[in-house]
Amino acid sequence: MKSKSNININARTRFIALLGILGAQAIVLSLLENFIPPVPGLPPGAKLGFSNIVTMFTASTMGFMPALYITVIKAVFAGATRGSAAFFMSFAGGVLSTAVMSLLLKSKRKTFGIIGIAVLSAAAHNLGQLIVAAIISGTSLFVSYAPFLLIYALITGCLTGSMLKIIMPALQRQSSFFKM
Amino acid sequence: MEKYVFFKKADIVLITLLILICFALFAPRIFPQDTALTAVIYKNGQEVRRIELEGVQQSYKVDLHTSPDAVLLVDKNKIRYIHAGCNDKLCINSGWLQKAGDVSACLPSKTFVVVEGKPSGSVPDAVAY
Repeated sequence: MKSKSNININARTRFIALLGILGAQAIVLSLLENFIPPVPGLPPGAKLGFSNIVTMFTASTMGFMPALYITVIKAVFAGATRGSAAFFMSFAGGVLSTAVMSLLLKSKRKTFGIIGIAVLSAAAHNLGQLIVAAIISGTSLFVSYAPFLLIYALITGCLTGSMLKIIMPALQRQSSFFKM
Repeated sequence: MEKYVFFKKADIVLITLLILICFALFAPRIFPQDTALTAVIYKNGQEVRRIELEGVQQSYKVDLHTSPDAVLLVDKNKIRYIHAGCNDKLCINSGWLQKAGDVSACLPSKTFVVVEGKPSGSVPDAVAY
């Protein structure tokens, strides 16, 4: 009886605990991908966006707001470690990509599969960052980066989409610990 | 999550469409303007200096007088960031700019450099040793 009552924590606590773990995983993934050496020919500073795996899982199983929390946690972490410019870049890209993926996941017709949604949300992420870069620098010349970023979004979107497919069972098991 | 399909026909259409858009956007790079190779330096979104890279005989540094500071190194047919007061050094890591369309930006100092025109000889994309 004692052990039973210990497990019986209320739903909100479980929700917060799971969100904390998912947020930590998103941060660790974005930290780890910094160690991958830059690929020549691609824009410097471009990342693979592995933390999008976690965001997309959250958006699909828990909804838009939890996914947005993770985006904000990630942006705050980027801001704390790399400065305010990094915060705004991460925040704008994260919010835009989370919004796009949530809309596509929620849409009744389900036009796109996981891969298509991952590609579009990666493109939305880059678009958000381009807009912030344009605002910070006060020019629109970063538009010349756009074709690079579009190709990059294609590659990383396919990659993160496939990885989500592989990691899905593990993430679902993790969520089931929290009865979510 | 099981109700979501991994790959759909619409995904293939989407990816093909995006690849086509990429090609369209890359067209001006593949066929650059027929002018001398010039580095254009922007500060706070305004053009502050143009340097003709072909006429450079000896390499020299250009201090952009920003905070945090940013210093460029100009050489024959190429230009790069050589010093920056920021943390991430993304501008320095982007290396030499030597083809039309090459861009390097330093957001903290609000400067960036764009290379315009066409080099006199062909430039290799990358050199492996």
